[in-house]
Amino acid sequence: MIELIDASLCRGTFCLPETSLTIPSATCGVVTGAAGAGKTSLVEAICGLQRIKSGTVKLKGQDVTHATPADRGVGYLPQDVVLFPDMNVEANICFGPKLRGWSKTKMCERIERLATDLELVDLLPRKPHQLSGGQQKRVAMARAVALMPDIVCLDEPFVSLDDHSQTLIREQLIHLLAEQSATILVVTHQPEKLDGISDLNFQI
Amino acid sequence: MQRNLKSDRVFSIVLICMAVGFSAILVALVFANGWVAGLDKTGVWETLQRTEIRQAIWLSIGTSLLSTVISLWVGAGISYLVSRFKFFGRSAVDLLMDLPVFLPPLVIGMSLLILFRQTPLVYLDNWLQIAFEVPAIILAQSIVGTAFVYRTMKATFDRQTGRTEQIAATLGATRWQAFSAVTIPASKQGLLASAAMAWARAFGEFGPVLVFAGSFRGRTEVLPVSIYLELNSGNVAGAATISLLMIAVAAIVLLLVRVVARDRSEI
Amino acid sequence: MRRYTILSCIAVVIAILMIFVSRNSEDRDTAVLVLCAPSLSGPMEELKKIYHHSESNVDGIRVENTYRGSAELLATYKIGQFGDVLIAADVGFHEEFIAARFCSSTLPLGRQFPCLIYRGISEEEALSILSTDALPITTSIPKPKHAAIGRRVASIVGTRQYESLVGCAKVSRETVSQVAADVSNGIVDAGIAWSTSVHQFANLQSVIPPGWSGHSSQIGASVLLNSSRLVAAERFVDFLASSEAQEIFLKHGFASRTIESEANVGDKE
Repeated sequence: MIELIDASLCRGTFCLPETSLTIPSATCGVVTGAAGAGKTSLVEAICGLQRIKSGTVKLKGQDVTHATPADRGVGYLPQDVVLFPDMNVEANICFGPKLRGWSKTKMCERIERLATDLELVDLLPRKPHQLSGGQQKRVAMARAVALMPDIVCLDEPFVSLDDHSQTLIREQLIHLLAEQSATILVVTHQPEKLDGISDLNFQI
Repeated sequence: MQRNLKSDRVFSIVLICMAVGFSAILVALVFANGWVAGLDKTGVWETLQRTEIRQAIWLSIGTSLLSTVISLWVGAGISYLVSRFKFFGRSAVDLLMDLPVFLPPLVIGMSLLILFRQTPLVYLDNWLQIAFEVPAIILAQSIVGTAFVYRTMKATFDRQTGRTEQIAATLGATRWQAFSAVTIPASKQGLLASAAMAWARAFGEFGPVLVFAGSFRGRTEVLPVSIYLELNSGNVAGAATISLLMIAVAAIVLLLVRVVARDRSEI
Repeated sequence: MRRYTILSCIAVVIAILMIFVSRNSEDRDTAVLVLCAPSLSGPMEELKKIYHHSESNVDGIRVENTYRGSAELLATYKIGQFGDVLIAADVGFHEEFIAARFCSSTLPLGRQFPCLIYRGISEEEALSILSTDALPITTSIPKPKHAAIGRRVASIVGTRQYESLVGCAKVSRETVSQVAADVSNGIVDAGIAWSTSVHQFANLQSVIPPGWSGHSSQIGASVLLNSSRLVAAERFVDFLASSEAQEIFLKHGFASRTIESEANVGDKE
């Protein structure tokens, strides 16, 4: 479950007024709004990458307002993708599991599953600069969900993707809901891409 | 359009002349040393055979290597702190770190000598002799080297937005893990450039080493000091020989750095 | 990061190995450190090697020399107070050390004479640099505040004339070795140096101007009171005064030492 209670934040000259939203467990919520409205800031506040000025952030019923990003355990696909440039695709995806001390077997199984689902098998040895924009986004998606997080936030996951890649992302979201009962928050200008998946719509 | 073409041509010619002229001066310097050394071939061989010169070669390479490692770790660490963390006194630290670059080398040497011989730090001699010993060479070289590493690595870290570290944090990384697993690998070119610069400065450091470590033959004699001592003893051919040796070592290291840097950029 | 840590460790190990290889195998604490004027490098390097195998070196100590201008030696010693024996080019510097209570006495080792050195010109042309109708001869002149030779000649010709010589010089240097190197390399035609410079540098000729031969400079050795190896230092200084060492000084162009006091004792500023 994701809860924002009267959360407000400021970033430079931009300020997001008090906002509240609740996404129950095993549900997908969509956040839409005009450009510059503060959608990315909102998502990053949930992940812990932005400090909120006032209000509360709760994840799975726990107050995480002052918790570090590492302690929140949110799987995050940022709008600017941000793959680790010096690691190949496999290392990017394994980054989280390695830090958590997963066994080699468990990691291999997870990579195999994600690489198959997101059609990354042939791309595993490549470095990010050798991938197209769409391929990079799929890798970032795999990395975000590699740890099987209970909460996943995606910022504009469909931008600059071809239809096939968008389908793969959609299918991954369906997996997350069905198999992991994850709580998902998606920021997008294209809410119609999530028809049949998302139950809640928030406008800011 | 013809006027622009002519202007471009003139601009290119001026730049080429500058490049050729400056390169010619550098090549002439090398040849001048070779010519002087070649005037006394026996002296050249004798100089290279002498125990104190061989000791100076080992000491120069050893101390410069150790100083480079120290400079890299300390300089990279401090530059990351100043680049990423906000704390009281941040600007003062930034200013202080630039000081060794701008201070005359002799000022650094003199100040170190006064610090370790005229203040209560002189009692450190009971445990570890620093002034006029090998640790003085390493300290003098490291101070300047660290300042150079700091400048280069701060520019490298400032160019990176810190976004990769943020994303690493969402995947469970602590600040140290993000720094070591993400930031440092992405800063390889900067590290290589810093290492080369720190080593070059350490290898050629003369002023602070002469004053703080002394110039005792066979004890704290590094190659730049050897040149000074050979000149003072009248052995100009010997001094030119050691100069050529230093040029050769520097050229080899520069080439190696370029090869490694090119390999990395091609991967 | 692991790769960089491993690389750093390997580099540190290699560096420490190289530093150890560069050190002498003997215990460094038994080395006697000698602060020398540059004009003494010739005899001192030879004497160092002889002393290492000499019977009078009962403790088997090593001698390590450093060569710096006399004024620089004094200034550095005032701050660092590091070294066991001082051998300056002029007794005047020893007297400054005695006045500062860094040493108590000086053992005379030999004498050297101030002279004009030249290359590629005649003796008359070299001597002309001291007259008011000087020919267009380029010169290198030692600075009086830094080099013992500068002090000595300034006391002979007078401060004003010496300053005029410095003013007309193409280059003014801190040590006599730098001056001799300038003349030897053909950078200048003539210079003021010690008579022993001719033995140290190639292609040099020298002439002692009229009236200068009575102003020889005594070089001497002093044991520095702050030394942590007083006995070894005194033993080495005694060796320097021995007939065996005296032959080496004579071989390098130094005149025999005078024990009795005379007008040649160094000047104070």
